Amino acid sequence: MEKAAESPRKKTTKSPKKPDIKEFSKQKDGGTQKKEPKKDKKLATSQKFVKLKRDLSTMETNIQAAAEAREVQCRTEIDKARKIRLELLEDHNLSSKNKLEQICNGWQTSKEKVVPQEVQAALNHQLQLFDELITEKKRVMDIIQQDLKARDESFVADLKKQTEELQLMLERMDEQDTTLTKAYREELEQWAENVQKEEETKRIEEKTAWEKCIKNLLDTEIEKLSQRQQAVEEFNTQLNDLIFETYENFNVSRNKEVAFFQAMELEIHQVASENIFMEQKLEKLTAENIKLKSEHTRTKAKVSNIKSELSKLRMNKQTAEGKEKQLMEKHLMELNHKVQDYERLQKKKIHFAIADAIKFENMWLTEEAEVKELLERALYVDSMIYEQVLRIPWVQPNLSFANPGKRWEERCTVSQISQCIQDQLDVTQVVAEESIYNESESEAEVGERSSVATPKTVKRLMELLCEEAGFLFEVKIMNLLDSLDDNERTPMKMGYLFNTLGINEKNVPKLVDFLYKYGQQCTKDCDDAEVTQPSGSTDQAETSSAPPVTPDPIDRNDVLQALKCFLDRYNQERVKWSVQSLEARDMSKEKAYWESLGNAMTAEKLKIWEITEMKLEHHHTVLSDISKLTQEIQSLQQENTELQMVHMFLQQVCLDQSFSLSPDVTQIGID
Amino acid sequence: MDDKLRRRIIAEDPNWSLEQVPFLSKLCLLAIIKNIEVNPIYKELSPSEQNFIQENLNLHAPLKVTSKLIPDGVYWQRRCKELWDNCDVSDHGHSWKRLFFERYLEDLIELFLPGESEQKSILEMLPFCKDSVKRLNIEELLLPIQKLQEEEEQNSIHEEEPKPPLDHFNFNMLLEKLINLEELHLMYRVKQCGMNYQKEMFEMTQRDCETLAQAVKSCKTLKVLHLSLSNINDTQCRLLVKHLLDHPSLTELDFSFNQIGDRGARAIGKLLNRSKLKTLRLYCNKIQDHGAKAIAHALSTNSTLEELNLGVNRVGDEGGQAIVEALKYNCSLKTLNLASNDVAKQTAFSLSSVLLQNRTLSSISLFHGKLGVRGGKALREAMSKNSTVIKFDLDLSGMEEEDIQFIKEVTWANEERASF
Repeated sequence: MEKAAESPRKKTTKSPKKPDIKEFSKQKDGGTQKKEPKKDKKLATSQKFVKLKRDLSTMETNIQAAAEAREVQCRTEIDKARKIRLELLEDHNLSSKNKLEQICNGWQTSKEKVVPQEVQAALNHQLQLFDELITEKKRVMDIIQQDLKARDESFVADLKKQTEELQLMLERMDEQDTTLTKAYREELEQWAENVQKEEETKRIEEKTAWEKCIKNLLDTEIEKLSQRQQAVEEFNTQLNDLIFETYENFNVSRNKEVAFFQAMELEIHQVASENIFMEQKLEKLTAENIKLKSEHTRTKAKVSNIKSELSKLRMNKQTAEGKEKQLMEKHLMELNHKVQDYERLQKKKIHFAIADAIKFENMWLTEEAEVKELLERALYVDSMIYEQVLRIPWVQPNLSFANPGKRWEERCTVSQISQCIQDQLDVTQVVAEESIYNESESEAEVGERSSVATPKTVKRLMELLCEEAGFLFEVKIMNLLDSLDDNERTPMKMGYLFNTLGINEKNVPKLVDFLYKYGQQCTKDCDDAEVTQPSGSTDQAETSSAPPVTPDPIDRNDVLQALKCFLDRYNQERVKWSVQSLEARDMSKEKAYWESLGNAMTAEKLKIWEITEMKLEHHHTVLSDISKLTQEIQSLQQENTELQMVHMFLQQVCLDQSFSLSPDVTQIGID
Repeated sequence: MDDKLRRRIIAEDPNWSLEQVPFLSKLCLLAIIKNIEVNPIYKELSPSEQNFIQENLNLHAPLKVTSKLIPDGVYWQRRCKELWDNCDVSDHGHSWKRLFFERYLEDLIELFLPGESEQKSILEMLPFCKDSVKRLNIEELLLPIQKLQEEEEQNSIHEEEPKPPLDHFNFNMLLEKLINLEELHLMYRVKQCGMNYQKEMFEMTQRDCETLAQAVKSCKTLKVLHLSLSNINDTQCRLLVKHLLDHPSLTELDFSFNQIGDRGARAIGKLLNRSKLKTLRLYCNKIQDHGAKAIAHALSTNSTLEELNLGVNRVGDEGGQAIVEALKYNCSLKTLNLASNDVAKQTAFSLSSVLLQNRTLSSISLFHGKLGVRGGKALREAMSKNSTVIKFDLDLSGMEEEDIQFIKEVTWANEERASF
């Protein structure tokens, strides 16, 4: 039974399986459906092919599914059959066991029996039981055998069925295959048709185009050929004409040439004769020529010499030029040096001029002082003479001119003021085109200006200056100055400051003025931004009439700037001034001044002085004589006294000698 | 004299032409062909000359010479065509030489009668075959006939006597020598036994199994092992699997159409994580829930397996659910076949939740399940959000036709997207 059960299963697994008829019909429908939209576009066809392929795969899976279903069914059937069989066998087992027990029991009971009939009966009974058992077994065997037979039959039937199904499936597959191939083929045909059509259309198009082209070409060729033929004919006729013409021309020209030739021959003869003559001439000429050639060579040599000289000269010129250039450069260098030297000298000169000026000034002042002293002495002497010698009351001469320091200062201040005014002009022009001062107005202006700079403001300015320029002081000095009180300190400080800055004390008011103006200018600048530029005079009036009332005459921050500015200016000014002062000295006035100094003592006085001198000398001589005489008198008197003394001594000695001669005599000899 | 002779011949023979005179090179080639056993020359020749030899070499030249001398080409094609009517080169790597040797060896093994034919005849062949044989497809193995007859006699006379072992061909010797063998397809059966049916024809003995297991273990190049239709039972399966553990190259194992039950399946589950298997087919066996659970457990930690075929087994709903749940942790499996099992709606629910997560699964086969209408609905909903599954067979699974059609359309759409 098991074998029979297994073998069909194996068969099912081995052989292809039968799919459901439904599925086939579906696939078929799909196949027919897909035939219809065949003439769609490519997309549709590609989709169709996808579907066809999918149908194939679905068919395969369907077949597999069907086979598996069959397998499963088979399995369940086998399981069922096995179960039934097992139950049957178990039942049979139970019943047979019961029967066996009955039989066994029967044997035991039969052994107990003694009567043969009974034994026979028991045996019969046992036999009956055996028969029953056997019939039962046979029945079961029959059943199982029938089952086996049925299985066998069903297996055969299955096999048959399977072969049929196999056939069917093969047919279906073939069908599908054919449909697919048909579809592909149709597709291919369509493609081919399309391609052919396209090809044909293209070919026709190309053919027509080609024919057209050929026609055109042929036409043009024929035209060209005809043209060429015509041309050939024309040329032929022309050629013939030309041949005739040239032949005639040739004939004519030949005749002419023959004639000409003869004439030429004659001429040749003549020319030959002439030639001989000419040859002779030529010989002469050649001789001359040789001469000329020699000359020519000579001249050539000369020319070459000259050329070489020229080149030499050129070379020389070039070298000379080079040298000159070098010289020029040297000279230029020297010139530069000289210019620099000159500038240096100029500077030196200015420097010396300044120095000279200062020296001169000093000299002047010292000289003047000396002269003044002398004059005073002279006056003193004069007065002495008048009073003591002449016993005349001395009258003070007019010495108003002879106030030398004042005189100098006057001159100086004037120049300084003019200078200052000019500076102011510069300042105003540079800083803010404030106004233009006239020379005539300058004095008043200055006065006004100085008046503007009141002592208070001046002091205030000085203090500011000291504070701002404090860095210039040395620490020691600062310490020293700290001990002083306020009123003393500022002047001291100022003094030190001016000393360090090199500013003359005379220029201090100028500095003050400058600073004041500078401060004003700054404030003015601020005002100018608002006020439009007025005319010079009104502006001046404004500045003079309304001096700005500020707590500080100058801004604290501007002080140093201003000081710096002033110092620059001051130095410039000093230089300028010293130079100018030398130039602008009025020599005539000087001369007059000095002469007036010289003439301070009048001629009469001199005469008086001379007379007095003479008289005095006379007096002196007399006096000296007297003094001499007095001296003589004195000496004589002294002699007299000495002699008197000696006399007295001698007298004493003489007196003593009388007492003791020798020692006294020696003592007198020594004395 | 010779010249005169030639001239005379030319004059007398009107059909004579220079073309009829064979070239010396051709003559040389013919000589080479003639003496190829004594003096093998091939590689030194030019390609055209080689072609000539391929086309003209004697088909019965001994393999000893030709197997090494002649490379794949027309010669081997000719030999194949001589021996067999239908030759499909595509099955043999498009190499006629391979085809020839593989089929030659297959024929030798299939016709081998243990006990009667000598193993020497095959072993002698091996040195020539070993380089080119990569695949052996053996569809039947004969039993020793004489013994069989004896056994029949014995059966009829002394039923009680123990049967002598009926062993098949011993592969142990063969596989060691075939150094390039990659595929081995075996079927322990006899084709067309007719009325001589015997149960032993369709199963392997214990010794067969042992020798085969050792042979397969010794063959380190083997990649594919098919052992189908051989009635392998659990113990045999366990023995084979035990020897296959940690095999260095095996990637495909096919035990289809056997009698493997839960114990065998458990052993295979153990093998899954101790090998490089990519394909496992256990189609048409007797695996039930326990075996399926063992495989599912292995699957949840596996990362190499790509195809699992458990079709036509007896896996119940529990086992099916276990396998499907394992896919939540697996991201290598691409093809799953659970067709014709007893899986039911729980499996369908699990699968529908897995389909939302898993992105590697591309082909599922579940026909003849008992998924029911509700299972079908769940799967339909899951598939509407899935874009990786290309094939999903659900016929005859108790679902509504509408749902099946919908899922089919989704898979078609996915397939089209994948093909782009």
